Amino acid sequence: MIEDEQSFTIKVPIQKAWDFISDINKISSCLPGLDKAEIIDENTADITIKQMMGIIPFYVKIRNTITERQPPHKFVSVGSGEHLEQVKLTLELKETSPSETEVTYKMLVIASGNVKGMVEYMMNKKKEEQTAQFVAALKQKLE
Amino acid sequence: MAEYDVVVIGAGHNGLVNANYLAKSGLKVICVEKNQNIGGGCSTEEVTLPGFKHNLHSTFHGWLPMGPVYKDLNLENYVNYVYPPANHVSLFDNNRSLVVYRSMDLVCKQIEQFSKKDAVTYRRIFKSYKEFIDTVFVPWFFSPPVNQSDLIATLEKSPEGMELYQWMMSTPMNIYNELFESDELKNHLMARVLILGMPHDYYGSGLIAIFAIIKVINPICVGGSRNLAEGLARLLKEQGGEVINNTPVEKIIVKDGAAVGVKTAGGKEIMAKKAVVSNIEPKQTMLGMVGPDKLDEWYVSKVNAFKPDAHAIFGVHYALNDAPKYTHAEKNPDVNMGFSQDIFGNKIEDFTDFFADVRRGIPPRKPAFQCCAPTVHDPTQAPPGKHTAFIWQPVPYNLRGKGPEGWADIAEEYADYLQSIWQEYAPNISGSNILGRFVHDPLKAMEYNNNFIGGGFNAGDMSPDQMGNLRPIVNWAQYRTPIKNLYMCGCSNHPGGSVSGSPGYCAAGIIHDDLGIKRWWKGLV
Ligand SMILES: Cc1cc2nc3c(=O)[nH]c(=O)nc-3n(C[C@H](O)[C@H](O)[C@H](O)COP(=O)(O)OP(=O)(O)OC[C@H]3O[C@@H](n4cnc5c(N)ncnc54)[C@H](O)[C@@H]3O)c2cc1C
Repeated sequence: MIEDEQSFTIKVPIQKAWDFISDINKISSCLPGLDKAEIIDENTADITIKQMMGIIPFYVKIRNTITERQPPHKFVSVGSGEHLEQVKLTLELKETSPSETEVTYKMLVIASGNVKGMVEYMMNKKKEEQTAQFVAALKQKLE
Repeated sequence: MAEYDVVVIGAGHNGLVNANYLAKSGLKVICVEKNQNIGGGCSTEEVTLPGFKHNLHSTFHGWLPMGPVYKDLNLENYVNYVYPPANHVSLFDNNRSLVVYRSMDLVCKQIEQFSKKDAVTYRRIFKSYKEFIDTVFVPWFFSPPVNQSDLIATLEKSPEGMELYQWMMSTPMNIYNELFESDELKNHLMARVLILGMPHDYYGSGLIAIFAIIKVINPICVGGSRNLAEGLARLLKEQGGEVINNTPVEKIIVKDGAAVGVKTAGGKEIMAKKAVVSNIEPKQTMLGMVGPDKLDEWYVSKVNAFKPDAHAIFGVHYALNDAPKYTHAEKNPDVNMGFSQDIFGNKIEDFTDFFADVRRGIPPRKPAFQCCAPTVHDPTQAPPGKHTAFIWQPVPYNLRGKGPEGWADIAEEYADYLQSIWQEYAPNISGSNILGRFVHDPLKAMEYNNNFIGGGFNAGDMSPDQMGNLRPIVNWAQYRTPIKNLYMCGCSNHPGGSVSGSPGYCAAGIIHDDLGIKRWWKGLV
C-alpha cells in the first residue's frame, strides 16, 4: 500500500477551486502523466496514465469513479485497473481567506496480484514526483 | 529428539537470511550446516598460511545493499563493507587498460581513450535505462518470480519498450556489438557479464548486458566474505535461533506427504513442526534427501533435467608479500586500485573462442580470468603488511574423456600456466613474493560446497529456460515443492546465484503466507 499526502495553498476562492476539482473532466486533466481520459458520465472516467521509467513508458488504465462530493470541502474518487486493486484520491478544501484555499491532497494505491510488490515499489519511487506534478498542474490551471 | 518449528538445511547466506526472517516472527529455527564453517558461497578459509584469509567463492557483495535484506535485518550492525575507489579494470595488450569508476564522467573519460562515440553511447544507455533498472529490474530481482508476460505486455505498448524487449530476447554479445564500436569496451563489458554469472551468447539474457552498464559496485566484506554469514548467524542466535555445523543432513523425513524433520548423517533426527527449508539445489534436496519414491514421475524427470552451471570456476589463491603491481599502472595509475583486474583477451570474439574450449571440455588456453587482491582495500584479510590475491578462470567441469576427476591430474600445471600469464601483467607475482598458493579446482570446489553443481556460481545454470518463473522447476518456481511444508531457499531458485539474500528473503515471505503469519517487514517499499 502506498500513501502520500500534501497540503498546499492555491490563490483562488474556495468555490472556484471546488467547481474545478469536482468536475471529472477538469480534475482528470491534472492527473500526472495523463495520456488519455475518456469521460463515461459525470462521475466516471477511464483514465490512461503514462508513467516513464527512464525512456520506457508504462501505461496504466484505470476506471475512476467519484464516490464522494461534499461541496465545497471534500472530493473522493476511487479507481481500479490492471494490477491495481485501488487508487483513491481525496481532496479536502479549506478557505484560508476569501481569495485563498488550502488543498489537502491524499493518494492511496493498493496494487494486486503477482506483481503487487513490484508495482507498489515503482509507485513509491514515483510518488513525490507525481504529487509535485499534480500540484503544479492544479495551480497552473486554476490560478 | 530435538524439535523446532523450522529446520533450515544449509547455512549459506540464503539459508541464514531465511532463518532470520522466520526467527524474527517468533518461530523456533535451527540451521543445520554440513561444513565446519558456515557460509557456503560466502566462505573465507586460511588455505595457504595462517592469518591469510581467502575467499574461496564470493568476494564482492554488490547485490546485497541493493535489496531489502541489508536494511530489514539491520546488517550494518553485524557486518562491514569497504568500497574500492575503482571497480573493474580491464587489461589489454600493449599496456592499454580501462578503469571503471563509480563516477560516470570518469568512466566516460576512460572509454574515450578507445572511442569518443562509445563514450557518448555509454552515457546515453546509462541515462536512458537507469530508472528502469532501479525501479523495475531491481524489484523484480527481489520479488518472487512474476509472470514474464506481465512485463512483456507492458513493453509491447511502446516503441521504446519494444526495443528493450528485443534486447531482452537477444544475447549480451549481440547487444554490445550493436551499441559499441571499440573492441576494448565490448570486451570489458562482456567480462562484467561473465562475472555476473552469464555467458556471452545465451538468447533471452540480454537484460543483463544493460544491467552491467548501469550497476557496478563491488563492496568487499571486511575480514572476509564469511563474516557476512557469521554476522547473520550472530543475529539468528540473538533472535533465539540456533546454528549447528559439521552436521550433514542425509534425509528429509516425510510423513503423510509432508516434511516433518531431517535425519543427519550421524543418525540424529531433528524434527520440524512447521517447515523444512533447504538451502541446497533441487537434485540433492528432492532426489537425494526426499527420494524419488515420494515424488511423482513428472517432477522427478524435471529435477533430473535441471542443468548444472554451464561452466565451472578454477581458482588459484595466493598469500603474497606485496600486492600485485601491474605494468599497466604506469600509463593508467588507478589500475592497481581497482576491485579487480580482468584479463579476458582483447576483443569480444575472444569469448566465443574461449567458450568453445569450455564447451568441448578443454581447459581454455586463452586466458579469461579475473584477478583480485582484496587486501589492497581491506588489510584485515592478511597479516599486517601482507596480502592475499586470487585469480579465477571459467573452465569446463567435465574434462573431455576424464570427467571432473581429471582435474586432480592437471590442476597444478594449469595453475602454473595461468600464473605465467598473470606474471606478464603483474611481474611481481613470482619468486619470493609468493608465500603460499592454493589451487581450488572444480573438483575441490564441489567437495567444499556440493551445492555448486557443475562447479559454477549459481547452483544451476542461469539459462533463460531456468530463470524467473521457470527456476528451478517449471510450475514449482515459488520456493515450494510437491512435499507439503518443504521449501527451497537457495540460489537454485529465483533470482539465481549471487550474494543478494533474495532467494532466502522471498522464500521467507512465501513461508509466512503459507503459515498464515503476518510478515513483520514492510517489503520492497
Ligand atoms: C568461485 C565463485 C565466486 C563467486 N563470486 C561471487 C561474487 O564475488 N559475488 C557474488 O555476489 N556472488 C559470487 N558467487 C556466487 C555466490 O557465491 C553464490 O551464488 C551464493 O553464495 C549462493 O548462496 P546460497 O546461500 O544460495 O548457497 P550456498 O552458499 O551454496 O549455501 C549452501 C550451504 O548448504 C550446505 N550444505 C550442502 N549440503 C548440505 C547437507 N547435506 N546438509 C547440510 N548442509 C549442506 C553447504 O555447505 C553450504 O554452506 C561466486 C560463486 C563462486 C563459486
